[in-house]
Amino acid sequence: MKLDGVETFYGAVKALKGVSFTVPDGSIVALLGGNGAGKTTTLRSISGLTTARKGTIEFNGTRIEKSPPERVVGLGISLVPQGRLLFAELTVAENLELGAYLRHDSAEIKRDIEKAYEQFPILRQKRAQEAGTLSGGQQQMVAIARSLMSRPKLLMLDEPSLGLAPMIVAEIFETIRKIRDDGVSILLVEQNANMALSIANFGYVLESGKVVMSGNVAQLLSDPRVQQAYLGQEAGPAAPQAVRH
Amino acid sequence: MQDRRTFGKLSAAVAATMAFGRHASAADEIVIGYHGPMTGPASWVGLGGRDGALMALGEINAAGGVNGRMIRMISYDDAGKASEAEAVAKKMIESDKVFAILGGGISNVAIVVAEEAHRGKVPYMNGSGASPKIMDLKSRWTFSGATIDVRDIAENAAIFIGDYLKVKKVAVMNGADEFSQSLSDNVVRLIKDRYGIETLTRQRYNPGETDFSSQLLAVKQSNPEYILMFGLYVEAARAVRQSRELGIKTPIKGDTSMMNLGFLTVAGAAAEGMIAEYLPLYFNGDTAKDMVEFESRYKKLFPSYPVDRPNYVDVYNYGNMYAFAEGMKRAGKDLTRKGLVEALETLNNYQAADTWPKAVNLIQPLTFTESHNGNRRLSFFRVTNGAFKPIADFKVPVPSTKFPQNASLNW
Amino acid sequence: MELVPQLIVSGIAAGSLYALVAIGLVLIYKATDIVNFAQGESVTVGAYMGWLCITQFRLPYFVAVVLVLAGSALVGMIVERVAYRPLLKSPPFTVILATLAVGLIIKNAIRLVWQDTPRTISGVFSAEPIEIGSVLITPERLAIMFTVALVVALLVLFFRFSKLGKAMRATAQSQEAASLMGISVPGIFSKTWALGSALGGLAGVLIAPLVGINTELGAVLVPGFVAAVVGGFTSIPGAIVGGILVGVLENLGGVFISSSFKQVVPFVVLITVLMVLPTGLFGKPLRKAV
Ligand SMILES: Nc1ncnc2c1ncn2[C@@H]1O[C@H](COP(=O)(O)OP(=O)(O)OP(=O)(O)O)[C@@H](O)[C@H]1O
Ligand SMILES: [Mg+2]
Repeated sequence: MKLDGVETFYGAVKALKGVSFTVPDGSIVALLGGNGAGKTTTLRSISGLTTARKGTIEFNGTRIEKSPPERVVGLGISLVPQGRLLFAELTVAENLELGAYLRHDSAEIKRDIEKAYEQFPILRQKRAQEAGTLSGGQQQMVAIARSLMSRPKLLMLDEPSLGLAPMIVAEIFETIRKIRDDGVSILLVEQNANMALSIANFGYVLESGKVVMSGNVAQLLSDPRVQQAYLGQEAGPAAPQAVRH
Repeated sequence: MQDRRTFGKLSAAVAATMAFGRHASAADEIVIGYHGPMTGPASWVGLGGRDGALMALGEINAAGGVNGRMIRMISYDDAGKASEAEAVAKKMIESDKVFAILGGGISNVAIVVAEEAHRGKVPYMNGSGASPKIMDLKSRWTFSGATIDVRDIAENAAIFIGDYLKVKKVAVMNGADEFSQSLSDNVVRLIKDRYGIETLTRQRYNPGETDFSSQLLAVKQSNPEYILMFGLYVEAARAVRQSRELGIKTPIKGDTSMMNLGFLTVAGAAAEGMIAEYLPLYFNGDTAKDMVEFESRYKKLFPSYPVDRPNYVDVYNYGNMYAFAEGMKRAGKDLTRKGLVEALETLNNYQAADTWPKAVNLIQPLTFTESHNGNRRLSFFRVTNGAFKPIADFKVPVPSTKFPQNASLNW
Repeated sequence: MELVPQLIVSGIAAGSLYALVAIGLVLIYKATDIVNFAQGESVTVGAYMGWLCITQFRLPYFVAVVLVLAGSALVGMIVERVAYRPLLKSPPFTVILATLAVGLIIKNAIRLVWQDTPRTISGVFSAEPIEIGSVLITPERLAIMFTVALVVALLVLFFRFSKLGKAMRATAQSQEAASLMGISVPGIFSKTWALGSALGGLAGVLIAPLVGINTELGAVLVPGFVAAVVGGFTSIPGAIVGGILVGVLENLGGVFISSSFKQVVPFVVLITVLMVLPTGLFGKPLRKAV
């Protein structure tokens, strides 16, 4: 997937000022940045929840910058949104079924739901419960499992660790890696840069609506500015640095 | 403004009138102005009043007109609004210089036109307004023809209940609108005062109501000999139908508003045996000779009209136009407006067929010898085999309300 | 006949129709946060369509009912298209006024074509009362109550088990999340308005044999609305309980207070409910998504 010069507005507010990056197939790309940098807006622009005013978004050779969300999902891009946006009054099982809304292979859907329960055994226990009654971590699991039900080629996650206990966060990240290993590309938005970079292949840093740095994980981890701003460390010894844009 | 919208429908009538009037020149024709709501929710009043009058007029002209002169009618839409009616009246009086005015209007409009006619000294026949305020103007120029004053309606109903139904205990259901409320108040008071008839319960219903079980069950609980219903005919029809559902076998008497096909349609079989009152002598579809004749002539003249026409306003003004013509005839060759008024005041128990051989009698006999309220009576009907049939064995005496005597009216 | 049981049974019979109208309002409100004031006209349209099918095209009553459902669903879709969708960015008040306007237009269009003359259709079931215990009821009313119960059961099954029903519930909770599932939100809106309106139309064709057909039938919106609010405006069981409550209270109030207050009683109940339970009897606290 490839973004090129994407500009997105909220009314008159320009939230993205020409964002360009690529997510190579089968990799985990981390999108880092502080509050209000435009991370969520980037994901929303890809998934069609907000429409980019300028620039192009290409997925597997298809231009999708003007596509509504239901078409983007159909093409194989699924978003686990910030705040999860579960259907709180629907059961866990119904949430999962809705994830497969565009699919018509009911036998396969059943099998995928089974797979989700194997991956998150707690969800099997809770499957008849309203999603809104679950704990934060369990809800995040439902959100991820629900997104996977569309059998995406690209899974986008918007701050999946937000508000969760460290143990749960580790479990979630472990899951994300497994998903990648199953062949799904991942675009991961995180403020928790340490965690994100621990599983990512590439990283981009957004600041006020622009990509200001990019590189592979090793480069980003060793960049003093990244360390200072996002990893909570003092600048370390010189090392190959990330490309400053 | 002149009403052109229904020109197509009217063309037959106009053609007929013009054919009859062919030999008359403009100088020896008598021009009558007509007003009524021909657009808006009350358009059925204005259109009915116009077409009934046109039909009579065609017959009168075909019979040679009035003392050799043809009558021509020009019609204006007053939209049922007082402001509009004032302009229309002024135009008729001042620029059209009509000889007399016939109204097919609703009360609030008739009052305005009556005032203008009085000022302009033009005879005015109130065709269908029932408000006492019209005749309370005490104008010598204004007559009420087939229509009836509300005070007389209440008294007719009370006399019928006391002298014909001869019951002692009734239950009342009335529409919450002002007219039904005040009419039912008056009837309840009159039957109590004159006949000692007890009203066991009074129930109200509102426009748009679809369920009447609470009202009907309260009525049933009170165990009356008769149920009296007033107003809002659609709701009344629903209530009549529902009364049978609730096992109420008590007979029901309605009022003038329920004398229409719509009421019978909605109430269905439950209306059988029900009584209601009405101004004309017959209801649509009656097999009486005069009504059959009238309806067949009407349908020839206006072939494309809906099933609910002719309505009662058609009938009123058919009769009113004949009364007007009779007055003009009696006023003689030197026809003046004052002469017409004085001639109308000689009509006593007058029916159109008395003097016009082609005419049919559809309204109560008119008497203007004492007051300008020409009609004081209603007819009573019973639903028989799904149709309103006149109750032949009862005739209401003239009610007691004293209307201003002719001599006390102002020129 | 015993008065109070009869008042209650008759009230339930009347209330079942209010409930049907209320459910239509609730479905649309849940999905779009809009009170559809054209819902009364769905009732009118349903009745007139039934009349057309039965008296003009001579179709059997049951066929007419199916056509009415389809036709009034279409009306709902049209209202959604002209009053809701173009005004998505306007304040709810504007949209509600727009539905009111569309309702008035429909009503006046019908009046233009068929005037104020009331019509009727003959029902299938007998209007002769039968005695059950100490109360009277007609087979006709029983059939209506049975139909309403059946429709409610079907609706519950629909929302519980069908894909579209689940998608509608999902959309009602979070439009964004629904669209992320691949659900076309405008499509769901359109179908929800169709469904809500079809329920109104059904109410119209059910009640027409009993009360006749004229352009004022839409007045049943008022008790339907009160029923919906009493029931919390977001729940089908709430709308049913609300409808029956309004029907029964109208009857009890009409007899034991005064017929002049008959239609006021439900409003008094409404205000009381709202003061004690601001979210209605069955309302849930506002919690759309977590
Ligand atoms: N609905 C909105 N209307 C107006 N401005 C918005 C809206 N949503 C976001 N913004 C603005 O757009 C910019 C980017 O916001 P965005 O939510 O994409 O940031 P983010 O990187 O996801 O931040 P966070 O880490 O806090 O989630 C911010 O300046 C924000 O204030
Ligand atoms: Mg964000």
